[in-house]
Amino acid sequence: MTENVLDIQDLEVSFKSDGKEVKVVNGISFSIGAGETVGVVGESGCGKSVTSLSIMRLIPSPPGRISGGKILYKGENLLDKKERDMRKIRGNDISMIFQEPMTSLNPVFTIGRQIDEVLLLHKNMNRTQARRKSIEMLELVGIPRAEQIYDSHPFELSGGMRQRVMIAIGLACEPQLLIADEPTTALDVTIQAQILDLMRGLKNKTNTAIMFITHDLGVVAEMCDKVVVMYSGEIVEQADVDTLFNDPKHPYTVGLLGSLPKVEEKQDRLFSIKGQVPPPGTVEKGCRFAGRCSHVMPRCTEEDPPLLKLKDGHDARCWLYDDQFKGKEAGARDTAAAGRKEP
Amino acid sequence: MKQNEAKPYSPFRAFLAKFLKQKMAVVAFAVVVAIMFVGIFGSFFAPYDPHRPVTAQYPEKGIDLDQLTNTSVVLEGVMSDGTTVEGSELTRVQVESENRRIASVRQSQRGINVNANTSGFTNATVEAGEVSGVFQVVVEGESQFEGREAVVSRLEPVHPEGVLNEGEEFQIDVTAVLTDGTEITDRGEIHELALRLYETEEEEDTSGFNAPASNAEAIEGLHFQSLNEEVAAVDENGIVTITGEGEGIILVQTGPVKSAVHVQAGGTAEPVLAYLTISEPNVTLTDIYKHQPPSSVHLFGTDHQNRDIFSRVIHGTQDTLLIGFVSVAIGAFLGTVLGLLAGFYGRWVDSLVTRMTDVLLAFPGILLAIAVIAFLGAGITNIIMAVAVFTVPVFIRIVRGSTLALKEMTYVEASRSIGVKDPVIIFRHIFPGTLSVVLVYLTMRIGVAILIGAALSFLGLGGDITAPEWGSMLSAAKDNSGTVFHATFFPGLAIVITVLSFNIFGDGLRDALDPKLKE
Amino acid sequence: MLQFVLRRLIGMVPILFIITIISFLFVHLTPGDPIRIMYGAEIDQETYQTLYEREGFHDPLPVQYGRYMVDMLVHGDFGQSYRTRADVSEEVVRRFGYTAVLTILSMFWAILIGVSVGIISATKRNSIWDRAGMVSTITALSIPEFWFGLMLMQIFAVQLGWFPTSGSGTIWHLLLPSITLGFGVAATIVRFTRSSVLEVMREDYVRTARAKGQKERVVIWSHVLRNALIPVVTMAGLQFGFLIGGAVVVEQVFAWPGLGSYLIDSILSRDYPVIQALILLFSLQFLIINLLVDISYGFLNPQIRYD
Repeated sequence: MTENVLDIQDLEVSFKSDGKEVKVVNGISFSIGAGETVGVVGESGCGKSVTSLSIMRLIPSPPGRISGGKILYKGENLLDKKERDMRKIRGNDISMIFQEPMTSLNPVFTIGRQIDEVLLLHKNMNRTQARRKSIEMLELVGIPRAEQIYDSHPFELSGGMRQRVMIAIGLACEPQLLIADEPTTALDVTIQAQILDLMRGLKNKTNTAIMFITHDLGVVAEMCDKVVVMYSGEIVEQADVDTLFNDPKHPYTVGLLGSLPKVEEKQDRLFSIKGQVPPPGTVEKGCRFAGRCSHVMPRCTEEDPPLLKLKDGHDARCWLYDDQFKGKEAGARDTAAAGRKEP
Repeated sequence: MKQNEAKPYSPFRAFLAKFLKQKMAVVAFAVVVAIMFVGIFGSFFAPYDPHRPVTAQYPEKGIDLDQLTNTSVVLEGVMSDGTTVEGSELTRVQVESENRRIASVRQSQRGINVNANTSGFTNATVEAGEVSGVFQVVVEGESQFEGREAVVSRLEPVHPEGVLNEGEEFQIDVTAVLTDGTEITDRGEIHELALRLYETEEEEDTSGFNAPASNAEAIEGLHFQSLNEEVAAVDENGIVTITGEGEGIILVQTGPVKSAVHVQAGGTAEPVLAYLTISEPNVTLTDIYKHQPPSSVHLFGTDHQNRDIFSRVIHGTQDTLLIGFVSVAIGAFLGTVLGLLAGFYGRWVDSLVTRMTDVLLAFPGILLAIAVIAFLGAGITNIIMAVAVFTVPVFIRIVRGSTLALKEMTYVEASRSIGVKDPVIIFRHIFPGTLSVVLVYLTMRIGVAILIGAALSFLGLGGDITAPEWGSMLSAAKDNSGTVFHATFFPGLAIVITVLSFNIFGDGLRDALDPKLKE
Repeated sequence: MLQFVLRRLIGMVPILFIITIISFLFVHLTPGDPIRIMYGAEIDQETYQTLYEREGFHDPLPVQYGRYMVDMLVHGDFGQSYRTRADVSEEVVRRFGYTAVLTILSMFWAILIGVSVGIISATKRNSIWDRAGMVSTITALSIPEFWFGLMLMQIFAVQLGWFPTSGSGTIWHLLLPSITLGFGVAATIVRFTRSSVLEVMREDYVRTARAKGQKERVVIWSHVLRNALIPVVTMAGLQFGFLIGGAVVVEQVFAWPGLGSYLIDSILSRDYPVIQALILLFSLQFLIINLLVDISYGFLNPQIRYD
């Protein structure tokens, strides 16, 4: 096993609202190897962004709080670090680009100043060196007339250009891990393709590990080595990208892919997933997807399914695979069979 | 499902629930109701007539004037053997006030009677033969009692024990008791204090005015004097040397306060009067003719014309609320009409009204109001008009805004398409939609209107400055009661509480009715 | 930029025109005969006629207006005070300085207190400080300026004797009036600053700055404040106009010899030339302040271009 850049173990994040604490991320674990690109997929509100902000320890607190688990960066638990040491990691070892390029740059500072900022913080450079490096970065992310753009303000740039600037900021310190939180969602389709091309190219050049958060499986197929599917604060399935696309197990993943489950016959019902993600804290027992699942069994509403290891590197959180792979009690098989008859 | 049918959604109930959640606003609402009650019925339960001096009303109220201005203190004499004598048994008693304009004193059956005349403070001396004491009289009122400090009230000497022989020496120990109750035993300290307190004595003596009754000779600091040199001699430090047989008296004195020390050198003798004690060395009385401080009789005190401020504040509630309510009502009515017209008809009506609004809103409200008063002249009606003028543009702006939005609603377009007349559309379909905003602003503007109204009458633009209106009361207090705290404090406090209640109530109403309105 | 200023200046002309008309008509619009108000009600018919001629009331209104404008613009002549017979323009110039000093110092207090309390409230949101700040602002907004002034005077001048009660002359005379005048605006600025800072702290670029590993202090002082204070400056500028309004009251409280007390004295004694001149002056002030605010906005926000 290669050394992991990032190892998340049983991470739990809670938010307080109206005096009640609600878990929005519930015991997730996954890892990212050096140079690897991991896609984190899920609908909005499933906890992807909260997970990424937790890695940076940027959860707004209060109301948010990391209530359990570990986040190991190169073997060191980030959750134990002092705020001062954490600051040395942010932007330097781990950097982040956000969904909204239009609002992620400070409108009153020049582009140059905003790239310089991160270099001056971490790289022990003087202003001239920072300027040179910033312009170099702007060129690297494919911005023409880099010298001129350096002195421009964000409002003079288009959305795609701004996202390139964000990427330049993210990569300026040559981080080990880049967290990209839906970097292309807010952009036009053509610009999306350009940005993805750029990221892929840069990844090959720099060998930076990337955690790619998106709700778009098409983007995942293009970019990632490994996929983590999240639903309502939990990982419901994880696998390498080929396995996941060719042999999705969890009904939710199947639904996302909009294709047929291999285990069942009622195909037409699965093209769109009915209903919405239940708000965090509303499902008290059983599988969180049960309310929307077309394969729901009585057991699903009673017991919370664990993340089952299907084969090396492929896990799914679904009772459907319980008897099949563990071959435990017979009763479960009956209920599963009964469940299958129901729809 | 069934629960929903049982309780149909009521917008009013929803509003009420939201409003009741805001505790501050509920309290403010209660205060607003109380203030309005006072505004309507205040004249019935105000304890005094707000227009007349209270002293003229005391007889009707059955309050005895004398009780308020008179008090008596008990006088006792202490003998050299430690026994006490009642004041009535003392002989050669004389009482004298340093400043009779402030308070006069006279001997009475049991002690001394003090009568307050005007505010200020003075010292009074009581003499009984050789010994004397002092007490201070403070008459509360507008005076600030600057330079007031405790003076020596009595000197308590320690008498030598038993019979003394010729040539014997002893030191007189004295305790000085000040009018504020402090006791000083150190001779040096007493001396210093006396030097400071009575240093101008000589000059006052020559002017012959304000001087204490006794003692023309200059006495400095703590002074000792033997009245019987053949028996005992005393030096300036109070060391007594017995020079012969008999009995002698040493006088101990600071300023007007004198005590006697009885020296017995052979033979037996009657004890002598050593010093005087006054039961209340610091008498406090009230000047009842002007600026009475707050008391149980006058909760907020009285003003420069001796009118009861509490009653005036209660009476003033009506005028103040009238300015607030009427001006905002007029402003809201005109503003709503113009806003509806501008929003509904658009085009030149709109641009004319909007332009006017912008210009009016560019000026601070108070200046706009002052300008209107400059045109119309001073007077309470004109204040109402002035406040209304700057309230109008506020309502135009908000009503126009919501009219523009409501005009696009489908139900409005529908009624237009079936040929409903414009006035009906405006009144039946658009106006009700603007009502919640208008209501919120109505409440919030009343506070502002009261503030500006009070400011205008404070500036003397309300016409009648003697009226019991809060702004005018403050104006009068500023001119006539510059140094009296309560005269300016209470009317202003009334304004603050009223405006604050309306503001908090308005905030709560806004949050409950339409949270989007929050700036 | 220059073009923008010019365009705005030209835009001011019609408004100024209307204001001069209002100010000119002032004497004619107010109830009562101007001659009798000016020279007293008891003058006989003959004197009345001579005065009527001399004041030029027999001319048609447009001619009178023309003369009024020429006197004002060409000669800088605003007439003489009825009350003191002093030249109005001289008196106005003399008093203007007093009001200017008072309002500028008040603005200084208002911004100093307002912005710092606003920032503390926002950064320590929902803390005791925040709540105390919010309660005191709503209270401050409900306190009449003149009463606050009287109370300051009572406490610090009368009881403690630290400051002179009223009048002018030293810096000490200025302190109480300027605090009185500034505190209301300070409360407004606190609320505005707080909500502005809170809004900016939710912005994505603040998160970006944190993600760069920037210190929280720098994030607040550089990234947040630079953005949050732009609307605050605008608002504070607009409040300047309201300070001048408040100055009228506060000057009266502290007997400060500025334009405000001049205005009130003139209104109470119907001293028309003074009132006319002051209406013009105050209007002009507000127009200029609004223009300056708009221009300053452009300096602070690179996004605004003057076209």
